[in-house]
Formats: sequence, C-alpha cells, structure tokens
Amino acid sequence: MNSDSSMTTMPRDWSTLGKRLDNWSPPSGGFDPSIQWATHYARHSLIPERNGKPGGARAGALHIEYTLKNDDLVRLQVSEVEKAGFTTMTTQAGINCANNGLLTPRRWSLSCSWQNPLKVVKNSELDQQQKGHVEGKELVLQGSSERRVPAPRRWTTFWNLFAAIQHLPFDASATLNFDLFEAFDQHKAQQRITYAGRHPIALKNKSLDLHVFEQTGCGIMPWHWWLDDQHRVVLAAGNRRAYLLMECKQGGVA
Amino acid sequence: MKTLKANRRTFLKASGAGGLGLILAAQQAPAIAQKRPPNILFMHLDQQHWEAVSAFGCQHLHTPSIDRLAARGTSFSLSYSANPVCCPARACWYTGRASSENGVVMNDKWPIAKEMPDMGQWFSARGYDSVYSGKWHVTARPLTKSFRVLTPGSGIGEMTDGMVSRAAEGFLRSRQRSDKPFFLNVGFLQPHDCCYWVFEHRENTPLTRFGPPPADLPPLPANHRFDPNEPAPLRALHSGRHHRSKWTAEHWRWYLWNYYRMVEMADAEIGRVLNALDDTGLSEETLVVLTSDHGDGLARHALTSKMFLYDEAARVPFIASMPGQIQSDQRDTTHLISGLDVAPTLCDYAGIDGMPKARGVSLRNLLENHQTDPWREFLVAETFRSGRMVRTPEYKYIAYHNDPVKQLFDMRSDPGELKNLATDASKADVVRNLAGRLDTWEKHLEAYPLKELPPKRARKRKKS
Repeated sequence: MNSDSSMTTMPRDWSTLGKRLDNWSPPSGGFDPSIQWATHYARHSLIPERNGKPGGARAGALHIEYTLKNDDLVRLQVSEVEKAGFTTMTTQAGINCANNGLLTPRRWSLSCSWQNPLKVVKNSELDQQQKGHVEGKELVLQGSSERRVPAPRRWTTFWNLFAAIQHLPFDASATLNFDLFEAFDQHKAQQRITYAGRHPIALKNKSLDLHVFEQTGCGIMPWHWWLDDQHRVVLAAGNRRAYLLMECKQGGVA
Repeated sequence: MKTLKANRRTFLKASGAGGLGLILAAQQAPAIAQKRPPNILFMHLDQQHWEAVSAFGCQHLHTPSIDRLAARGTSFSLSYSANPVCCPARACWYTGRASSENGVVMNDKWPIAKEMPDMGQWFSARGYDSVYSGKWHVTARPLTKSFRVLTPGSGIGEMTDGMVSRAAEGFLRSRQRSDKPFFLNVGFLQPHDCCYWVFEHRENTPLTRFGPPPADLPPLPANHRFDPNEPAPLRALHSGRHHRSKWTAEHWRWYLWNYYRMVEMADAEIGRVLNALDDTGLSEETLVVLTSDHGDGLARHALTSKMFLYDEAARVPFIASMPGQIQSDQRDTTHLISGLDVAPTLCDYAGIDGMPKARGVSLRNLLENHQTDPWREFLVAETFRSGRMVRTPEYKYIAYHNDPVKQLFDMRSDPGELKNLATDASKADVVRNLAGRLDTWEKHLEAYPLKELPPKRARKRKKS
C-alpha cells in the first residue's frame, strides 16, 4: 500500500488502459464548470493487459450535459451506454438538481432501453420508464409502482458527481461526505471524497499533471477522479470501470 | 434471526442409501394446493464467502438486501458447493448431477455431457418461461440453447452486474398476471472481481490508492496459516498462482477490505431485483433462492480464491424465501445441504418431475419445517478431477486420488481446519468409516468418461 510520496510511476488507473491511450489526447483550453457544458466519456473496463491481450477494453459511453437554469437549479442530462455480450443498454436521465455542492437531485426521469438482437426477447420486456422526486424527507420512486425511501441528509447520484467534483477546490479542505443513490435506487452510505494531491502522468507522447480526488464508501471500490487544472474530470476510475474524457464543450453539445 | 437445530439423534448412524448419502424418504413434501405453479427466481453470486453477510454476523460490511432476504426466509449455514469452482458448481446446479457425471470437472476445458438436460430446458418443457440474465459459464452448453437470454453479462462484475439486475428488473416489472410462470435466473459476477484484484496485486503492485489505509481494515482470521504437510494439490496452491508470500499482514487486510466492498456491490444489485419483485406483488407467488457457486479463501489458510475443499471455498450461503410457505427469519445450523439440492428443490416447488438421476434432495421439508427425519448423514463435494470431501456434522475428510496425505478435521472443535487428525490413531475408525462412504459414493455414480485433456489443448501441448 502506498501513500502520496511514492506515486512516482504510472498510476494503475492509467497504466491499465495501456495502448488505448496511445492515440488519445485530453481536451484542452479553458473550462468553467459553473456554466453550461457537455462532456463525452468512453467507458472502459479496467482489466490489465494479459497474455498479449490489451487491457482497458471499451464497452460503452457516458454523455453528460450541465445547464445552470437559475441560481437554485441545475439541469443534468445524462446518457450512458453499456454493453455486455450481444446486448446493449442505454440509460437516459434528466435530473433537476439543487445548485449545492453535491448537486442533490430534486426531480428526475430515467429510462432504460435495450438492444437485444435475439428475437426471443422483446424490447418491451426489458425497457423501463421511471421517474422520481424528493418529497419532504423521502425519495419517491415511480415506475410500474411507487416506492418511498428515506432521503439521507446529504446525497447525490454517481452521475452528478461528474459535475459536483468539478466545483471542488484543489486542496485538503475539499472533502465531501454524503450518501450515494446509484441510478436513484441503490443506496450506498458513508461516501467520502477527499483531495489526494497532484500527480504527473507520463503517456506515450505527452505528459499530464493532474489533480486526484479519492472516493471511498459502502458498496463501491475506491474511485479516483482525475481533473486537469481547468477542473475538468479527465478520467474517473473505479476498480474495474473507467470513464475517459473524449470531448468537452463549453456551452455546446460534445 | 432464529436458529434451528436438530437433535443429534435425528441423523442416521449410517447411510445405506448410496449416492450422496441421501435419505430418499425426505424427498416427498406435502402437496399444497395451488392455482398455478409458483414463479421461481434463482439468483446466484460468484465467489461469495458463506460468512460475508451482515445478517450472518459479519461486522465488516453492510448487506441490507441479502439481510432482507434472510429475514423473510430460511438460510443454511452448513451449505456446500458440489464442486467449488465456477463451471463445475454451475453444471451441478443446472443438471442436478455430480461433476464426475456431468463431465464438467474443471473450468472451461471439460465440456458438459451433451445428452444431459439442464434446468432451463427442463423447466421450459414443463410450461415455464425460462429466462436468464447474467453469468452462465457452463462449459460447452450455449446459454441460448437453454434459456431466453435477457443479457449474458460478462466476465467483469463491475462492468455488467448493473445491466444484469436492470434486465431482471425490467423483466419482472413488465410481467402480466396472465403470463405463464417464470423461471428467472440471475447470475451476478460479484464478488468475483476480487480475482482481478489479486492478479493485479500478485507482486504487491503499488499505487492502488493514495491515502493511508482505511481505519476499518478487517483483522486477519484466526486460521490465517497453513499446514506445510498438506496434500500436494494444496501445496501447489500455496506455491502457485495463489501464492501470496510477499503479502504483508496489511496487504491481506487490504484484500479483505476490498473483497467486502465487492460483496456490497453485489448486494445493491440483489436489492434492485428484490425491489422489483416486491413492487409488482410477485413476491407472494415466487420462490426466491440465493446462493453462490463457491466461496473465497478470504485469507483463511493464507489463501485467496477457490478450487479447494476447506470451508472458505467449499461452503456457500444459501437462502430460500417464499412468504407463507417457507419459514421466515430462520437460520438452519444443523442440516447439511449441497449445491446438488438446488435442482430437486426447484422442481419440487414447481410441481414438476425431478431431473433424471438427480443426486440431491429437495429441501422443501426443511424449508417448511415439516418432518425432516431422517436427513442425510453426510455429503460429498469434489474438486479438480481428484479431490473429494466427505462432510458429516462432526467431521470433514479430504482425500485426493493418488495422494498419500489425507486430511481429517473435527469441525466442531476445529472449525478453522488447522489440525489434521488423519494420522491420529484414535481417529482411525473415523477415517476408515469416511473413506468407506466416499468409496460407496463414487461407485454409485455413473462416471462420465473424461479425456485426459481436451483435444485442442492436448494438440497444443504436443506441438510445444
């Protein structure tokens, strides 16, 4: 186990992606996370190169759009594509959030649509439409029926973290404590995000100097959030899953 | 949780029934009139240690979903995999036959006997909608030949377990009352991602975290050591790819901490499926079974992973629930059950004929607290092509073919399996008795003719 001082070689989050990074260039230029932006990430598995097979296979994408509606309200539009074997699932979420440090959702809609080329399963058997909102101290989840669950005092979703982390300062005071509701239905308590310093990344044809936040908590493996000086999330990496920034546009659609 | 215990006298002194030492009289459960057969939801985890559940006393993780299922059903603490490796364990579930019979004795290279039906085919032919979401991993039996496949999952839990639970959720939420009963199988991969973690840390690869270790690293287990005089296959594990000699105590504890997080990830996916079942009102008419193909070394005997017969690998959680029929909030700590019991139990609840020559027995009488005497006196598990384990309520006997070192553990006084009594003169009768039972069991099987190595691999070896 290593601490900051020993981070002298390529961090595992990056080395696992290996050759996938050879032709990758991080978006550059100015960026203000507090006004409208859109980011597009490639979704990779974090399996190291083994027996000559390159690591970090690509399996889907994540697209997030951030719009500041007014002083109190932020709108996030999310689309995540996941692939497994011959099936593809696309999750789309529209989230109205409080303009607080966690971008806590207030009202949302979520849909899951499937592509399954096998004719034996109809899309209508798997596709879903859900919505939800916060009502008093409860989350109200509505789909084929209604479910109410207690709302933690401080909570957000995994997707919202892509935006929330971009607002954190790069210093040790930047700590977030909260509960996670992954995809609005999977409660994972006792999350903590802390600033872990600045680290050089030496890629094949370029070097980067990035800031890292580490997230730990129930129901997740430690996540590392890598940000550039402009506060863009360049790479979000869990244990076996990573999102690599491919495009970032201020004010437009990535 | 209430604990169920049977009197010692409820066990037979010797089993003349052959097979797995089953007492066939226990197979017939009272008929319960039902308008239609129940739905069946069979969920399985991959590499889930039998104790790594909050409800079973583990203090190092939070598993609210598994706890919820345990509270509404009956769980077994003496539940064993029929063969603690992925493919073999799964082939045993789905055929009801021992590995030596169905042909899947190890991962990937040994195909399932072509003529042997699996539960997907069996239930479909008897009026069920057999569907599957997630990991299958039964060698040479395409999943699509046996089930309607919602999503096949992948080899990485963190990447696709969410899809697996979403597919199952979507399927449940779209069911109509008029639909035929379903047999929904949900195969989660977690906490199997721990194998990648170990692979990545084999040489103590640094840089996997930034800050100091978490304050809540679990302690090492009491049996975090091993006997250097183990049988050769176990010695090989300790010196081969399971070798962790470079790991410090902190590395081991860091491994445990990470493993528990992976269990929590699986728990969240289970919760999504259970919520869908509850929200749609299907819980009342659905038998839910949750188990695992095998456990994980979890630092016991200084091992990770599986493929051996110590409890940490061979013992698995098993929970069954069906409100109004199966006793709620019960933990059975007495009765020995096997992965081979899955098929007979599901067939029993479905009200269909059992699978051909299934070696297990229906657990229905235990689950519903009907007459359970007599119950099996012992069970057998296999591993590799040569390893066998006989487990009785008191003892575990482990023998590998052609290996002179046998193992005998007193499971009541030595649950950590540290003191091998096989050469203790005072236990000679026990060894003889258990070895005899093993012989009887093996003779009873219709062994599938295994090739030394499958042709492809043999050819490769020949070339080299």
